[in-house]
Amino acid sequence: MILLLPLIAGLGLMSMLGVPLLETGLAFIFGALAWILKMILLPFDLLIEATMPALHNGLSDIQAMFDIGMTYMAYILDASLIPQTAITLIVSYYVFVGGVSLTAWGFKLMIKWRQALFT
Amino acid sequence: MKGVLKCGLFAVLFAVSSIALFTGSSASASSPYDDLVKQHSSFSVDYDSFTAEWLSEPPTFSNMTDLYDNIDFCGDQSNFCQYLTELKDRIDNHGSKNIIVQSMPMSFPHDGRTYMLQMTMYDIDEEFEFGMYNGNYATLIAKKNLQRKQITIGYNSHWTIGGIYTEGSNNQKPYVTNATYVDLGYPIVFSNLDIPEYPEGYEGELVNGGEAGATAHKPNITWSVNDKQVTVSSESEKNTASLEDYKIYWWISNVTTDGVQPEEAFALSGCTNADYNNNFTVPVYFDYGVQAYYADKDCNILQVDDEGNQLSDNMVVLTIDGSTFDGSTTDHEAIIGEIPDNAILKAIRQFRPNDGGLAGLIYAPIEAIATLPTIVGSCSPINLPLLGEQVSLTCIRPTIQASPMGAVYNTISVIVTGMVTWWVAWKTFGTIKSIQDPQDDRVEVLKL
Repeated sequence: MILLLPLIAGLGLMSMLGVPLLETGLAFIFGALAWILKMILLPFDLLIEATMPALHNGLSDIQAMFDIGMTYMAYILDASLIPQTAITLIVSYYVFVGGVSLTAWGFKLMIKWRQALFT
Repeated sequence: MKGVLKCGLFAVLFAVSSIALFTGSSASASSPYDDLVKQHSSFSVDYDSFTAEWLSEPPTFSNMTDLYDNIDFCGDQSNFCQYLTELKDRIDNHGSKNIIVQSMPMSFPHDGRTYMLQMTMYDIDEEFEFGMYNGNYATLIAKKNLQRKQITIGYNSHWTIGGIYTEGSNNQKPYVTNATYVDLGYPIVFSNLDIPEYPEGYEGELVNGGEAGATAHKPNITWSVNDKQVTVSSESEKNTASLEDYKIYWWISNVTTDGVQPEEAFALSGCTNADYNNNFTVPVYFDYGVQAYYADKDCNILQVDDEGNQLSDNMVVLTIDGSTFDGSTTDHEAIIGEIPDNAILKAIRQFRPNDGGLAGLIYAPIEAIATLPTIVGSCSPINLPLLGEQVSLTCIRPTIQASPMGAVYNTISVIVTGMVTWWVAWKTFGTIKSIQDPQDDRVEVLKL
């Protein structure tokens, strides 16, 4: 127990120093995701915006609801007093796990398609 | 168990070395180079061994004049001319090895109109490590690895805020506004050939205007207009006080005939936080007008500073498409939006997932996750209607941190973060281990 506190504090300090790297990594990952989405959905969005502006505005309104939700989320997280560093670490972990699962799922899908096509 | 002990030993050593490191960095603040940064009430700075060389001449613009080569342009404003001549002389003949930035927005009359002029010097490589504030104070920053500087000179004929210059008055002197990070014109680039050698670890020193009030902590606001979008973003100055006390009250009017907006003419107004990297985007079409003011926590436009003095300028100076627009004018000529030459190409170039539409909708939850790590610092009070009255719920964390309990909270935070780090490390190792398991569904696929 005597060892545990300095150990935890040390890990805390260590993670605080490493968090900028994690945040940069996360920004890169989410930036890549945004780019992929952009490439895939751009034609559809241009089409919707040109032909059905009301629908485009409606979609934007729904997106705006997320922004409002994030305002409340910011307040709740602030009130929870969970350290920002801890939140970054937890998000990073789940992004990592999600990335592993998604990659594996992608491989599996490709193999199934290959089997379906060539066997 | 052995591994845990080793890990604990490492963590303790790490903690001790970190503390030593922090202690060391604070000691470097007393570097002998710190004394080289000085503030002068006359806005001039110490130039002792700076050598400058012009690398490029400014391009010619119809509405801009190179004041370095056309000192006469300032007409009969003797104080202004004197200041320009002095500044030029200082840069050309004396130089400085410490001053990175100096900005001189000021107003002066010419041809019956009042112009605003701004001169900015900043470190190109470090970008905008500088602040210039309302009042008579400049902020100067010394940094290591100073290599290049830039001066921009330009003027805006729409500068109509009164009180800065009075025709015929005797106290005509350069006036510093709160225009910060405003790039008014073309760059005149010269290099510093005498790069100072700073001690290892020296991060420079920021010297604030000694008597600058709360307005000195205004965030820096920039506006940009991309196709059909006006974006306001704010960024806090480093080493300044918290920005929680400030908000930006914005107002945007728009006249459109393209049928996309539900109404042909409308005006939007609202309040946004002035937090670091806060962004707010409003769609605009064709003619649009924008104004922004510094506001208090309750979104009331600031009228007086912390000391009760009437603010002569509580308006955010806007930068749109590279030129400054003073939102106080009703003349929309300066900010008429462009009709894109090729709508599709422009849309491809400027499309972002948060622009709305399908991509925006799908990206919204992803963006929500992405902002989670930084969202804690962007808390803003929530206003809720309660029994017919608006109740404002203030953010708890800043209150605790500002109280005597702040130190206790920070200590607990470190411990909690450590526990979370442990948990994350444990789970991460577990995940990696499970990947090695041939029975694992994911690995089975990967090994194919």
